[in-house]
Amino acid sequence: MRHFKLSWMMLAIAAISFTSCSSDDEPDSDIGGENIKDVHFDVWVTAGTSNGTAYLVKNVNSLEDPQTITFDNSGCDITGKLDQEIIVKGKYYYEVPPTGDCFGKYQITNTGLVTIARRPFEKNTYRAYRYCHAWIDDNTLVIMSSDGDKKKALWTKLDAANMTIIEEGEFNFTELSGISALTTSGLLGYRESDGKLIYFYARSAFAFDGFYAAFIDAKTMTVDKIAHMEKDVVMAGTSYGELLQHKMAFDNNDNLYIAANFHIDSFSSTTQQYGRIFRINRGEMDFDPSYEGFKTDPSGVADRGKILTIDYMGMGSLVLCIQDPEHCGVVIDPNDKNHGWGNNYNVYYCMLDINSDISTEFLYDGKHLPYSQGTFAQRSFVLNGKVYIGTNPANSEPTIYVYDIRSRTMNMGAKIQEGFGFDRITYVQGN
Amino acid sequence: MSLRLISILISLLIIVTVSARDLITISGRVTTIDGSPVEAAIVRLDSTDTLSRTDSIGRYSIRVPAGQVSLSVSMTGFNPISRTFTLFSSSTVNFQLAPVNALSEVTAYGKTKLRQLRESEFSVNSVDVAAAVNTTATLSDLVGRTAGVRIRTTGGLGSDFDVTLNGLTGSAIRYFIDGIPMESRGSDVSLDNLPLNQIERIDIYKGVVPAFLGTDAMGGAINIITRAQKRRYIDASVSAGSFHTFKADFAAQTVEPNTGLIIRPTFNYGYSKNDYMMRNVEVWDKDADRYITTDRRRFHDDYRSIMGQIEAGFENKSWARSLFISASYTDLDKEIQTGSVQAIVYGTPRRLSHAWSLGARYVKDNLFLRGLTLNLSLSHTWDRSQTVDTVYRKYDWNGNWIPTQRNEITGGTRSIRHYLRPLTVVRANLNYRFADIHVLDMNYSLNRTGNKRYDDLDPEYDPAKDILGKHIIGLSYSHSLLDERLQNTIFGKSYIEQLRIVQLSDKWSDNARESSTKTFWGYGIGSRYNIIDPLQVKFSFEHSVRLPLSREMLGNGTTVSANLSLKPENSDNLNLGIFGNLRLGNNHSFYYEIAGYLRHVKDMIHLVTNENTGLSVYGNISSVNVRGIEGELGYHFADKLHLTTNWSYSVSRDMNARRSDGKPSVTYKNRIPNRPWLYGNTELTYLHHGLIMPHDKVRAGYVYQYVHWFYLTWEGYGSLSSKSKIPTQNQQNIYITYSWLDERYNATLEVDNIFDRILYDNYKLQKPGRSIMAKFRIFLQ
Repeated sequence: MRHFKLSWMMLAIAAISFTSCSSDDEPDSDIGGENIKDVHFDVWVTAGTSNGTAYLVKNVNSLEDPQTITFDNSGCDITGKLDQEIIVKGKYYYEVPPTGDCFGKYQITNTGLVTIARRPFEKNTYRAYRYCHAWIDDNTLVIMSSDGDKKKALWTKLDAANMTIIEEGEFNFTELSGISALTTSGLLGYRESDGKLIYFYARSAFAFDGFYAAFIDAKTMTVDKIAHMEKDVVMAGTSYGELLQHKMAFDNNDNLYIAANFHIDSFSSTTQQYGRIFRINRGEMDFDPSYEGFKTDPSGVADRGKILTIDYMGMGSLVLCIQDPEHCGVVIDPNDKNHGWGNNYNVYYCMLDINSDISTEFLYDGKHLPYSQGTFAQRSFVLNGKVYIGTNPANSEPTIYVYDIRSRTMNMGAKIQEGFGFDRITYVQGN
Repeated sequence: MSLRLISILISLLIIVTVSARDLITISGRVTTIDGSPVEAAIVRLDSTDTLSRTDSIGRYSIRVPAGQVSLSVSMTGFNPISRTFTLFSSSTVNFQLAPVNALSEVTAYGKTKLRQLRESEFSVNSVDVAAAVNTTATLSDLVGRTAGVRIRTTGGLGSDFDVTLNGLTGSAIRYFIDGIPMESRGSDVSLDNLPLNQIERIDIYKGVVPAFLGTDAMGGAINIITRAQKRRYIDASVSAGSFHTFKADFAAQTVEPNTGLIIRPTFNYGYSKNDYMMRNVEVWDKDADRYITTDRRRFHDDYRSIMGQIEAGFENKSWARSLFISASYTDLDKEIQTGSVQAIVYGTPRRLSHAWSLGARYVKDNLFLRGLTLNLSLSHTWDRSQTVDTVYRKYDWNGNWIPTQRNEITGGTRSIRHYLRPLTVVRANLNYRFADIHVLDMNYSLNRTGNKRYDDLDPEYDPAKDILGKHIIGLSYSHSLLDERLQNTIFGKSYIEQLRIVQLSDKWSDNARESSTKTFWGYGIGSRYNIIDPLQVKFSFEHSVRLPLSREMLGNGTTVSANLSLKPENSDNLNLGIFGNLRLGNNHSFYYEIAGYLRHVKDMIHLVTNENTGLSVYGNISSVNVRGIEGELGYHFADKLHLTTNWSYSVSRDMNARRSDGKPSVTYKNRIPNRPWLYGNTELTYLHHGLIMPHDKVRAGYVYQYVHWFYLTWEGYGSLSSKSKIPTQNQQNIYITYSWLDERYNATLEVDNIFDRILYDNYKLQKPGRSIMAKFRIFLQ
């Protein structure tokens, strides 16, 4: 299987090399991610071992400069003040703080945390980092979560500019779907083309018996339809929404791709999963039955690992962060109950061609990027025509690689001082 | 339940009263041969602690059992005398004392038990509780004023607290009452709610724990020694003060004269609203349309505890040095005001617990062999607790709330969570003293805890019935040489852990442990050499193992999650100290001790709190080094003035070279955050006799406690302006006690935190500000 996989990888690289000659001719409209000129980057790390963890954030102007980002008496210590699971949009961060009684707007600088505003909830409340969100426009944010009984889904529409609650309400999805409970947070996306919020939920994060997509009119906040994915999978991001990890992505035609995983039967633990990608096409209110991505590539290689994060890169491709001990050649310790899954260096990045289902591992200087560790991390994003990929290799400093989508070239960017846990990079408008 | 307990106590009081009917009163005068009254002579009923002290005209009065009575009279400068007579009704008996002629003046200074302990080969503090019994201090207050000890409390009366001994904390410290694990009185009984009037002293073993305690303590042990008097007495006190705090303590002892049956009832009640002011908390200002900082009182922190115990048995019989059976009951009701950080405000959750306990203890000297002592104890405790979190509301510091869709603590569904933790403790100790200088000690202890849990309301909660058992066998040999100037001890311990884990809640984790039996070994050595009295040295070393407690591995059902991956912790503990005593003349005495210690801990069990959720879980820290030095200096002027000061410097360093992902850790060898590392205590007491009337006393005290500021998170990383610090804390307390009629009656006024400074827990939870308490205590014997 490994030989087949390698052959296909070589073929894919050759195909990419070939097509790269014509990349200048491709329309810019199919480049994923945002285009923001005035931007800086925040590098999120953790310090400490089991004695306690400090959460640090450092603002840097570039991730492409071959600098080493350090945290010695620099950066912002946000421990106990902000979560790593946080919404970022424009110049600000937003989150429900630990008190659970309000919604906050923040800026992180290298000298400290600035609280811009907080607004107490009036009816619906949310647990810290247990909700999902979607932006209807630059200023209108919707957050959703199941209630304490896990029977209903609560929603609150917020004006992020003046930090006021526009309206709030709830949906009785257990009754509407005929299920007994809802997953903790669910996932929420906004389809701009028809003004639909799409809320994904399941009856259990560990049931692996399908999940639901509720199509909600964003203006009236009424449910238009509930679609059911009946395959033995559960969507990714059942507990934390997309506060840390990207679990779904829209392409430039407003088709939605959502990551889901199914449990590998041969393991008793639910940690071991293989991923799938499902699609809801623009304007549709059901899953596209003709598409099941990341299933079997043309060489016949099936089940290529668990999908941790997903972004739309452009050019008909997705950027995937995949956990797969077999692909990463993890030497399995006989005492490891997770059999190479869990906390091993078993994470790699690839691009998935949506049409062919060919996944191609990102390379630098002809070699794969260093394999990383960590199931709960978001070290990649697509911005200004580039894919930023952070790695935390086993034997060297965490390093950020930058892939230019148009030129299909990969460069090595900044390194991060060794000794820290490296779990997240974000971009923020403004310098 | 409380009414039943009160009925029992009333019955016991009746027993005390009825048994007193067999007593007669002997009274009279003690004079010199020429008829002058002898003041302050002691008239004692032989072989008992029943005594009377003569007044200024030589009068005494003593209550004794009818029948044959032996009385002894003693007074410095006079020859003691004893007389035996048979009396069946109250009578008058006078004594005449003859002065000592042939002897020149000799002053003998015996070593107190406290001093004997300090001069043992172990690193040990001993706190005399008698001096503080009239104050409103708790046992944890007294322990916290000793060298190398830091008490962390999260709030007012009944709040959670932790003891740090020489840098090790939490359950690394084990607690005993007369050598029996304290948890056998119920899981919520602690240093904070045990009444002082039952306690004689507290022995604090730092680092190395003697084998006779038969425990897997790693950072040290605190052994509370209860009052053991042969006389009858009633000791009752009430205290009240700030924050609607009220306490009542009652302890008594009666001795049935014919059989020698001793009955000891005790009862304690404590209540506080804990409605102290919280400074600079945030509340929403609707008019200003923003959050403002202000001061607000706590509004959901009521605490109520009821404890009762009755002990009955015999002492000094041919067949036993002591045999007692006991029954105790504890009932606690505690409201929960905040999460582990004060920004998380609750308004309705509460924790209820109660525990019944039955126990027996038996001590027999010279069993089969002269010098062989058997000490057995057995107890079983039915311990039950529940956490009630059933209201869907979100509170703020104004006490206002909005209706929500989730419970307050976990944000989940309504929950009434029950934990039943029956505990069986068995301890058997054989101590063989031979040839006067050798002691062989063998100890076995069994500790079995059940863990049944369920939830009345939460359908997703995983009910379980787990069992944690441990057997600890200790063997030690001690001897004293060179006329007791050199003492050595060597010991070994075997720890057997038995687990039966049923619950599934944490089985997804990488290394979750299941049912198993494992054995661990520990050993140690201690030595003390008295070069001269002012200069003595001691050294001790132990490799110790501590097995996880049920609440550490299985959680508390609400704020502490289970961690089935938790491993036993082990430590190499080294103590080195010099100390000495110096007496200048009859009135001035000095005491000093300087001690250093080193602990190397592997898999340290540590409570990890998520400041963002307010929830915690116990985890293992793979490697920690703790180094520290502490010093104590004491000065005593006769029995009038006592000044002690102690200072401790303790640094714990992270010795995990690698992170959990296998990569080098940037915090390797860094100071572990959120721990006080420099702190000190100074205490001054003054005692004055005869201020208003003969035999009265005035005791005034001043206590100063200092904690240097420390970082909440790892120092050195992140800009200083962004880092949270726990500020330097200065606390000053004063008290004054007036006692009259030989301390039969005692009244105390106490002001804690007199300058109303803001004091913090390690996680920056605010503690009470200035408080005033008054206490009245009667002690009749």
